[in-house]
Amino acid sequence: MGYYCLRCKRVVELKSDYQGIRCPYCGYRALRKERSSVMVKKLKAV
Amino acid sequence: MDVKKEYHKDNEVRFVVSGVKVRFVNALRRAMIAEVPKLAIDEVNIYENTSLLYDEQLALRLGLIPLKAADIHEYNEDDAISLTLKAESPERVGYTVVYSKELISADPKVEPALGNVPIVKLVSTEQEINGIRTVARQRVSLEAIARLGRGRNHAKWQPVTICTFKELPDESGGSSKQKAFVFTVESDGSLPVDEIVTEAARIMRDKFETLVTALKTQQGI
Repeated sequence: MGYYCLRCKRVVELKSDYQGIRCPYCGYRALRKERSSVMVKKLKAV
Repeated sequence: MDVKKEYHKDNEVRFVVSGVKVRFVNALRRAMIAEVPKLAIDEVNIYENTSLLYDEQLALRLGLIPLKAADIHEYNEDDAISLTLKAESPERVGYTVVYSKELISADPKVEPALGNVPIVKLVSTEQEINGIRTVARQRVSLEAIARLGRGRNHAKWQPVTICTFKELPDESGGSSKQKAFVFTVESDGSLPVDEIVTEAARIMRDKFETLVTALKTQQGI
């Protein structure tokens, strides 16, 4: 599962040898895990 | 018992019931609130939600949207009606408000009773990164499942917004417990207000008939 940068919204793949969390395009340090297209969140409307 | 209709508008009715006791009108009030069935969104499958609202908040807001059906008696508690919503913020900087009228129902006989209920605000913001300007857009994509329910299980299944009664002053000065009450009932739009009152009365009658039948069968009255 990929991550995307919260600032530039680009998809970021984290490498195993990478020693930190940082977007390689803009340098922002907040990444969010992408919601998979097959994953559906089921909720009760209460 | 005497009933006199005082006022009637699309979603509101006011009538005076006289010659009854307070426990009777209170039972009718409670039947309207808790026993009359209506449709409401019960489950939400969220495919995408990048809005500022949490998934849970979005689901709660959807649940509170009144839905109307052409004939509520066609549905039972096992039926599930699918409504889909797909919306995105504008291409340029700005915002758009998603309203209940944008819910698309799989059943053409079911639709939101009010089209102007705001669900979520989707905002497009401009960002400048390394000299390049981009627009970040927000999206919502979901499927809502509506079911038939009753107000005793959750407030979203209450067909009334206002349902109150007030005792009229006794002008005769007598000590009789048979009093007059002015009833005010307002529908949320899911059912016609007349139907709510008559359905509540019918539900009360059915319950008493069941009680009498059961007593007769078991005790040979």
